[in-house]
Amino acid sequence: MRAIRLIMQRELAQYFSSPLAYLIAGAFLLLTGVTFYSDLNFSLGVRPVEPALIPNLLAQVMIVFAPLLTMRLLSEENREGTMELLLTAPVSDGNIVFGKFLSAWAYYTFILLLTLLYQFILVNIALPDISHTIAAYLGIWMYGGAALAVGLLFSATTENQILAAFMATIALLLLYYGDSLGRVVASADLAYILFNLTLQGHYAASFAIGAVRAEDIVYYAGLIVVALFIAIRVIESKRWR
Amino acid sequence: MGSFIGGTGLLLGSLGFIWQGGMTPYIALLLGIGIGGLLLWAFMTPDDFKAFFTGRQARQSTLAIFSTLLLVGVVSLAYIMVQRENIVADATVDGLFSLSETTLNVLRAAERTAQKIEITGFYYHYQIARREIDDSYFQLYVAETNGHIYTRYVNPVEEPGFSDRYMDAIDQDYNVFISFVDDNGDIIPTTTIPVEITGTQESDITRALSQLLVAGSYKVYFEVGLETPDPISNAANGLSLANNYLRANGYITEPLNLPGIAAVGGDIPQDASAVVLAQPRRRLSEAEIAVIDRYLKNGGALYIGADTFFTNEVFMGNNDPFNQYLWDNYGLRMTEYIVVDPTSSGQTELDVLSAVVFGENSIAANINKEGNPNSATQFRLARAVEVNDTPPVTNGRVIMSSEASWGETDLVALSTRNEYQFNADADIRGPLTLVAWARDEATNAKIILLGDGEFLTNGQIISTEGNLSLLLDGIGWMTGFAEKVEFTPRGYLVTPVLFVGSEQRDIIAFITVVLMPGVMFIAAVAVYLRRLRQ
Amino acid sequence: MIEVKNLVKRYGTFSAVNNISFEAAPGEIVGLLGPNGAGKTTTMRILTGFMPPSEGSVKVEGFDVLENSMEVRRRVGYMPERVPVYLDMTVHGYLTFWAKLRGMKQPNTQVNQMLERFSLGDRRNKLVRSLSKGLRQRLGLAQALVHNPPVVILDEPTIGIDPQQVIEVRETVRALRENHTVLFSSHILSEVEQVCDRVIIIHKGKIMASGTPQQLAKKYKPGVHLYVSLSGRSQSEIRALLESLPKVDNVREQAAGFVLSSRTDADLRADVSSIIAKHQLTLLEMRLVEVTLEDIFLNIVDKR
Repeated sequence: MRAIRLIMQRELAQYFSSPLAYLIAGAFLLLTGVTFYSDLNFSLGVRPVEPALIPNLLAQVMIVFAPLLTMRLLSEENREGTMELLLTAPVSDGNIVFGKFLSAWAYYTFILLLTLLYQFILVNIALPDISHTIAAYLGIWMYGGAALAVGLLFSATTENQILAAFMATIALLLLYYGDSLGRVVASADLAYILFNLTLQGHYAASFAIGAVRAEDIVYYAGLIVVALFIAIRVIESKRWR
Repeated sequence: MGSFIGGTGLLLGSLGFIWQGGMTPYIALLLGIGIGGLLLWAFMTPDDFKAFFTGRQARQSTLAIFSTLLLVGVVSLAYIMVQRENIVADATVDGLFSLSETTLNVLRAAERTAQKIEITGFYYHYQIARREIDDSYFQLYVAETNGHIYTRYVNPVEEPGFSDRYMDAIDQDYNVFISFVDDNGDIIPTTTIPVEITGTQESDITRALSQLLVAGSYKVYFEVGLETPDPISNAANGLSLANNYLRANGYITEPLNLPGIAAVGGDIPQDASAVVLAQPRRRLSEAEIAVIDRYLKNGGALYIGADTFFTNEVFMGNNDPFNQYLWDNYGLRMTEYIVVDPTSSGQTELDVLSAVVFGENSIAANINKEGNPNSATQFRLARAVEVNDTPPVTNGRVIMSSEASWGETDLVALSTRNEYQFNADADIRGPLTLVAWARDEATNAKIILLGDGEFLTNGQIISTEGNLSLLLDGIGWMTGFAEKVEFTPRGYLVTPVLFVGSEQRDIIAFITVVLMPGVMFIAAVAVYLRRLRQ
Repeated sequence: MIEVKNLVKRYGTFSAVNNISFEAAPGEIVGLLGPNGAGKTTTMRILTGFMPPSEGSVKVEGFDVLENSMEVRRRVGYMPERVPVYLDMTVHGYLTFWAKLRGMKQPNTQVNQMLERFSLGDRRNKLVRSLSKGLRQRLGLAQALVHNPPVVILDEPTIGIDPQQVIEVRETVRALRENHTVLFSSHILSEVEQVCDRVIIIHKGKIMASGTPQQLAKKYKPGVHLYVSLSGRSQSEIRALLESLPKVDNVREQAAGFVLSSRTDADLRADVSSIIAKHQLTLLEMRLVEVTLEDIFLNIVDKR
């Protein structure tokens, strides 16, 4: 636990001491801010605001955003050779991976919390469906965790950050749009299975419309656990090579 | 690389196997890819492959792969178990995922039916996301009735034979149907009710479900003996269109010959939930009035479309005994004024649109809806209805013309020269009543009196949404059908539409688009400068 | 305390380390000597718990690296060949991180001590990114020692730094002798000779020789070696004269003179003096030659 905390703290300090993290956060807030404001203008006097607006946007943005956050976590250690020191410290491989993951998730949570300001504005000017919004945020939080875990997995496989980000983006694209493969084969059963394997399949049809389904939480938690487990095995395999 | 493809293929294959609980072509394909990848690996790099299976390294690698597979299996199993449980928490303020009291009552009734009820959903393979959203609602019904209501999803591409009958509806975005099924599990086609999914799924489904339940239990008779148009002919014009709409909404319709009944001293059938008098062209005889009186005293309902005819003996004219009968017993009667409305009208000032509607009951519930001009009713050459404000029974108005309207009394000028002009001495100032209702609490007799009959018979009931609503909701109110089916739509119940002043909007724009990202960018620069110094 | 028995490490079919056994006691500095690719780094990585051995047993402070990996890792300080650092941390933060990660609860005193010892105190709040190669090397050493481990493993600690810094590093390593078991690898022979108590020469994954530098010299270059530089006759005549001396087994040209070797411990100087007197030669230089590891190493590697 101590090791996880130490590694997580170090990574978080790394995030917050590098200008890149703030640039990413700034770009992110600009995107959500513009979306929020234009949606606000659009719905004025026409309809209530969409409670899951920001989370819905994030569902797509995370495809690019998650690899950016995670690409350097393990690949940099591999490239700089610090992985060798980490692996000879009295810390299990799982602790390393988990600490790294938690730091990325914590940073993501921080940005997510920043966007709650929009909800705060809404509460002050209208009566938004706050619980629906909270459900959507819960969903996108889990969703983001899963996307970050996938990004981390690819960061573990290579020394090249760009390659890690690239592969993670492709993997996330597949995980997001994988269900469109079902369109090609014209089978609803297969499309259903693919849909339920995709990230959006467990967000768009539940959290986004205000329903918290236990199966979706299990899906995201399961994806996190599996991706981290494989990442640990990948790290472990470096010892054997 | 081969090992990677192989491992992934095997993994996905086994996952699919666990998921589906059986062998399907796709899973076989995945497993094939997996084995192919492993063979490729063994073939391309034999040394690597051999080393993989010998020594400590092999133990470790196999352990890693099998533990991963095991973990994936456990996670999948947990997922499937949880999925079967269908545990859903409703997070919306409007309770979109909780069945309302109304729905629960309908479901109690549904559970008692002899046959099971099938929700048949047609979704193409590229509409899975939509299907999943709808499914989360359908599952509420399935769970609540312990499977008495069940779902069946059909991909029109995969089952063209079954879908054929529904294709017309599917093309018009009606892709969900509710039907009773027989003992063999086959749909009973005559009971099928299409469901319009509008985004407030619960009300859509429940309304259709109640239609299914009450379908066939209400009979509406069209009077055909008073020189009224034939309602039953299948020609797609005139009154038969109105008739077809009623049938499509679950009513049984029959013709009724009032003079015939009166001639033999008989009665209107007991099962008549309502009788429609659409544009009668002659006056009723005393015997016919007696038949109607007996029917009303027995709790009957009368939907009267009294139209304008430039004859002396017009139906419900000034000295028509039936007019007097309704006035005495129900506080409603027809005048002979033609309503002219300069402000609320269609092509001419004689095409009167509904200016004011009253919401005491459900008759006008779907008329003059906000943002939908087509939901106004439109009467051509309408007569004004007179409502007794101290009536013998409860009564009231449904639709009125605007303040600027008047009742034209110079029918000669109107009929011969098409001239109409407000004459303060003779004409009656608006607003005038176009449609009124009455209800006798003691006998449960119900009457809707309309100053126009033509709207039922001119075949334009399709294009004028308001007129159709007036028919369906009027009949619904009279038969009680509406009360059984009526379901408060759930949309924007609690969360209201947003209004923000422009000044406030500028502040919001500044905070969200400039301030928040700006702070982050400034922080980025600050951190960069600090790092330069270090 | 390091015990290595019959260690084998295979990568696929290639054996990087092939049946190595050795020990290192506390207070001893052991040098691993060998050319690049001899298996030094692999051996060290196994000792630190970075990678597991294919065969054989490796114990550090009595703990097996396979079975008690964590205990081993807690007791080892390791500086890899590349001296990896986190560029975006401060010097102080970097040391504190490793100290904490290796189990120290209150590492501040220890960290400060290390900073002083390696003269990094004035740079404690600088980013590692700004340090020169030599300073990073010091930081790497401090990192390996910050948790005061009984066993210190340094992989080529003097590679790629300037001579002044090399001397500093060597002194530092020598000073570790008192409290630590030190394993030190290098491909620079003179360095090992200067620093280590004991040398293990490995080549192609096998131990070629081991012992103190003196023992190795005795074993692989026994006898007395004398350098003489004479004038008065032609070089070839001088060479013939020297070779005629009975106690001299070998004459080798070196610089402006010759190296005379004898397998016995006999003193050759008297014999040389007699030749000078007899043939009226002029003595330019005469001194005893020390045997270097380089000689031994070349000797061993050439033989195989």
